[in-house]
Amino acid sequence: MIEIKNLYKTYHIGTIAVEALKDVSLKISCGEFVAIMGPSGSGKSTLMHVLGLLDRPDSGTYTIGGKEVQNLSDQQLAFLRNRLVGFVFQQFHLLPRMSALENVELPLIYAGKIRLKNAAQKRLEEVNLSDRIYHRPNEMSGGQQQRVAVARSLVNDPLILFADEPTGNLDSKNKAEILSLLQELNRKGKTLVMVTHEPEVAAYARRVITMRDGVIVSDKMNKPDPAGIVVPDADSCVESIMDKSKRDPGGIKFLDYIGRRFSPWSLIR
Amino acid sequence: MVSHKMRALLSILGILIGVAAVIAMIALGRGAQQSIEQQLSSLGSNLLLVMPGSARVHGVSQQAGSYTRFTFQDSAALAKLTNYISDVTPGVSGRAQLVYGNKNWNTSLESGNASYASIRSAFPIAGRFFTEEEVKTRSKVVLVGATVVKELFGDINPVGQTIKINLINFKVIGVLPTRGASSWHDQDDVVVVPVTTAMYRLLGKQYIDSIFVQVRSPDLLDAAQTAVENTIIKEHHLSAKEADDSFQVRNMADMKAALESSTKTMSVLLGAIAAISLFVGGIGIMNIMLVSVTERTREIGLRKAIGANNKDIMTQFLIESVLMSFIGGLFGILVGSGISMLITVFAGWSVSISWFSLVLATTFSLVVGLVFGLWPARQASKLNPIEALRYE
Ligand SMILES: Nc1ncnc2c1ncn2[C@@H]1O[C@H](COP(=O)(O)OP(=O)(O)OP(=O)(O)O)[C@@H](O)[C@H]1O
Ligand SMILES: [Mg+2]
Repeated sequence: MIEIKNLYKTYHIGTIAVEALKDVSLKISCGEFVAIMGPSGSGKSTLMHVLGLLDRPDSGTYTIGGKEVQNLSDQQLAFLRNRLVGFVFQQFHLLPRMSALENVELPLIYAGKIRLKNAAQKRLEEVNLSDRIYHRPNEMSGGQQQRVAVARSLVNDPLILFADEPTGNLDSKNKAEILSLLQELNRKGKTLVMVTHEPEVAAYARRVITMRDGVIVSDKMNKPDPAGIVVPDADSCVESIMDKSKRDPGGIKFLDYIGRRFSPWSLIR
Repeated sequence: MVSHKMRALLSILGILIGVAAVIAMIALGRGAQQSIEQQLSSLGSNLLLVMPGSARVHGVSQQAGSYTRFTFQDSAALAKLTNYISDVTPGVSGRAQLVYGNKNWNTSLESGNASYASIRSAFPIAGRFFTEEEVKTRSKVVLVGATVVKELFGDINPVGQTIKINLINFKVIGVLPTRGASSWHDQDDVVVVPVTTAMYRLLGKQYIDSIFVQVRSPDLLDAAQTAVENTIIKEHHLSAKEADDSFQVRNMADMKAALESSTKTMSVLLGAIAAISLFVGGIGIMNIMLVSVTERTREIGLRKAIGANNKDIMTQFLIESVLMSFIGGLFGILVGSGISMLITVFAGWSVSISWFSLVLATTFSLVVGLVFGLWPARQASKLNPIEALRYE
């Protein structure tokens, strides 16, 4: 479903050039659970950002479901980020002034689907947070915050979920919670790509890729595919999602925005 | 967050002050204009004023012989132009010292014939006006203005009382209607006597100072003016050059226009001051929006990461700045109206709040929010999601 070929990404700090990705090629199929490992600075996050459409590579091609995406416009990329991929960060990145529910609703707003009110609530129930939906991030534990972030990444029902060290800021109990949540999602058919330092975290995945200095040094299967796993045929749906982007309901989105997010008090809250 | 709240309130305050200034300044300007209009309308609108000397008398030295002296013959001749003119009143004016009981008062003295009441809209609110008979006989009767009543009589009914004007006994026969105080001149501080009495008994003048002419209708003003000029040229056998500068006929409409243009200048000046304060308020909004963009860089990055495009981010920040300045505008209207009313109550200046200024101020505050929010909003929308998320 995902295929990258000869990806390069170089950062320039003053006169020093850091090659974060050097000729990286990779294929990920539907329903996989991939862990990316490697020492600090090896380019894992850079790769994830490119895969998650948050950053553009310097050169190389990137196809999702047979569609090249490296040259799309800002509007199209935003649309794919919204519908096609979900992203979970190490630092959670929840908006502090909003409740858990409002945080999870955010992607719905940009999808013009805020009318599906209970979609957000259902996701929160799925991550076992139905009793915390009106809590602000600072009123929740790290594990709970990360579960809100997972719910947020799932609310628009993406094809692939990217998680960059999702357990990096959590203690072992919360770590296990999040990992079994992710494993459960994968079992239900969600394609998962996760970055981690720790071998015991990587053990949850079925395929482990190791990077060093911007190149992939190893790529091996952890264990055979368990029986009964759902492998959706996702390749065909990318085109139909892209088609929808041409009928972007901008007006509705705008009204939703004003209606849901904007009381005058939100300015001084 | 507290500091963000505080900054937002301060920026709103900036717009508030700007809008309040616009409202109050425009109200003040309009008030001045209206009070001038009111004074002019108390003179009557179809009036011509015939006076000796040229329009350039003030500031330019008068030459001997270039000065027409008017007599009752002139006013009688003008009164015969009945096609154009309905009434004529000759008049002299000066200062007069009034004494009633142990009270003294110095006031301005005006005079006319029986038509003065209708021409100058001066029908008495108490008592009666003097008659043509009393004008002929140089009667010692007087009508007093509201200020004179207040200063000399207090609570006593002035009608029927006797007062001394320049040491001569006069009988008060009426009270003049109030004309309203203008900011520079109390129009009610006045007494009116028959023109003959004023000339021969009080001021010792042989000639008439001015003649007020009431024209039948506004569209006859120009024709009447020409007729009046021709009549006077004929009466006084004036040459063409003398006709130009030995007398003048003033049209009330012209005087009105001159006064109005000066109040308009004042309005524009006040408006400019208000606009500057609104502009400064706008810069305040821009400042806080820029700060807000920096403060919320990570939020912008996150929103982009979950699917907001550049337009969405831009819209969000624009809405915020417009909303802020709009709130400022609304409260500014309240405060501005309040200030205008306080000016009326305490300073006694007439002010008048117009719908126009309310609409103008609201529109302006919206536009300020839009214009000054645009640049910060663009800055926000151009951020790269990953760099924004990494921002510390
Ligand atoms: N915005 C940037 N500007 C300059 N250099 C960068 C930037 N982002 C990453 N780099 C460099 O690119 C290289 C790869 O960084 P990356 O964040 O992908 O590493 P990583 O494998 O995720 O490391 P970690 O495990 O510590 O998160 C590093 O050497 C880093 O210094
Ligand atoms: Mg990293």
